[in-house]
Amino acid sequence: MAPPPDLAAGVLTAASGLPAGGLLLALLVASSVTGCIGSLVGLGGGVLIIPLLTLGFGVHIHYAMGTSLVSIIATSTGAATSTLTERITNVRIGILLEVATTLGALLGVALAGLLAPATLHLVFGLVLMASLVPLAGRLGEELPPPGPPDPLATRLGLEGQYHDRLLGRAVPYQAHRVGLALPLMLSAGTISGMLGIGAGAFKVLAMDLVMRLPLKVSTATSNFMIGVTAAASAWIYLARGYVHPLLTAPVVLGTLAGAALGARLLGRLANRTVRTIVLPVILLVSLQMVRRGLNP
Amino acid sequence: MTGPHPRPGPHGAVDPPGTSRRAVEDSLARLLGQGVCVSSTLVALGLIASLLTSGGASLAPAHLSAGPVPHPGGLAGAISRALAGPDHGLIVVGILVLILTPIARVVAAAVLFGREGDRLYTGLTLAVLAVLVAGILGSR
Repeated sequence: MAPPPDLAAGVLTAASGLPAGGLLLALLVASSVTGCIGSLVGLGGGVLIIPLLTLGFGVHIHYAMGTSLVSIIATSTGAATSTLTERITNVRIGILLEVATTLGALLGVALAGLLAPATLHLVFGLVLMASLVPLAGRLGEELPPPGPPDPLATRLGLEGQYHDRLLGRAVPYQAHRVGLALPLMLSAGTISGMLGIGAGAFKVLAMDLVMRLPLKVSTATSNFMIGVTAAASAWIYLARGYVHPLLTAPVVLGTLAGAALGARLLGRLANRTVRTIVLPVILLVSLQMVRRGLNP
Repeated sequence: MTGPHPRPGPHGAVDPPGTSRRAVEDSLARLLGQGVCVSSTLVALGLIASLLTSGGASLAPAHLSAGPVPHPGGLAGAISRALAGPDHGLIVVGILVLILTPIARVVAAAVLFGREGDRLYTGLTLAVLAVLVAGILGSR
């Protein structure tokens, strides 16, 4: 597949005209912000880093996808250290769902080569937009109401407890509707492979709406998982030459720093605060991507 | 505990509540932290070295907007080209360490669950590892 040579050249902005030093600094700062937001909401930051690189810095979509996949691993790894120590991440739930997401990621990468960049933009934008509806519907909720016990979840040991700093108490929880969550995770993995994003929005939403876990557990566990899903795809992007070392380096450093900060904030912020910050950001990005998909 | 695979946990009587689960979480946290440290150090050093020698020439807008050129040789070829490229060796090694860290975490989780005698989660973790390996082999 040969992408049109003028694809990104047409949208070169002031940022990409910077000298190398200024460009590196801009990439460091921008990626630390996306890493922080990504780790807070369990989205990995891919939803933000791809439009940032293509629209803001005029980077070719393939380089943006390669860099994004590496930055997703950085967000996941940088955030996991502190969310694991604070017991917000549920390792068992993460590993069970990883079986489905890694399989889906392989499938998605195989499909990605068949689609033109404009199509990818359009699909990406619509996927984001669709994920906003349930996100907005849960804005006021701090913790999910208790539901009926799921025998499968009990059998798999999918329960846990974390200490909520904001509520000042231990929050016990159990997963629900695991049989429905697994095929949803397979789809989330496929999307992540196709678009070079963490597809964390789908994973968080599935854990939040279907499995009914506390939001912090959902975002932290999504973050824990997306590193592995991205690692499965990253090798393929590396082989295709999509990972530009000098472009990826500042993004990795900025993302790691931002993700570590975001993970610390996660334990201290209210769930509704986090959703309120992130919702308009994702809306803006999804609109940009859909427009780009329609007018390549 | 009525499950077929007894494992210590919050509802188990084997250990004080959550002891072994916490040990697994702490071990994984330590491993991921070490991966971040090694990777970020290599990437930072490589970035500085790159700027000092070439001044970041490959970050020129024309180069970034043109996109990657397809090469034969797959993953091994891509890595060896990147390593041989102008001053990018350290960055590439740092990025490889970062990509390997979640995979190392999966291996570590399989070992930790195995040591706990948790056959179900050892099996699930090994299944994840098998898909990862298939993905890496498929990218050749």
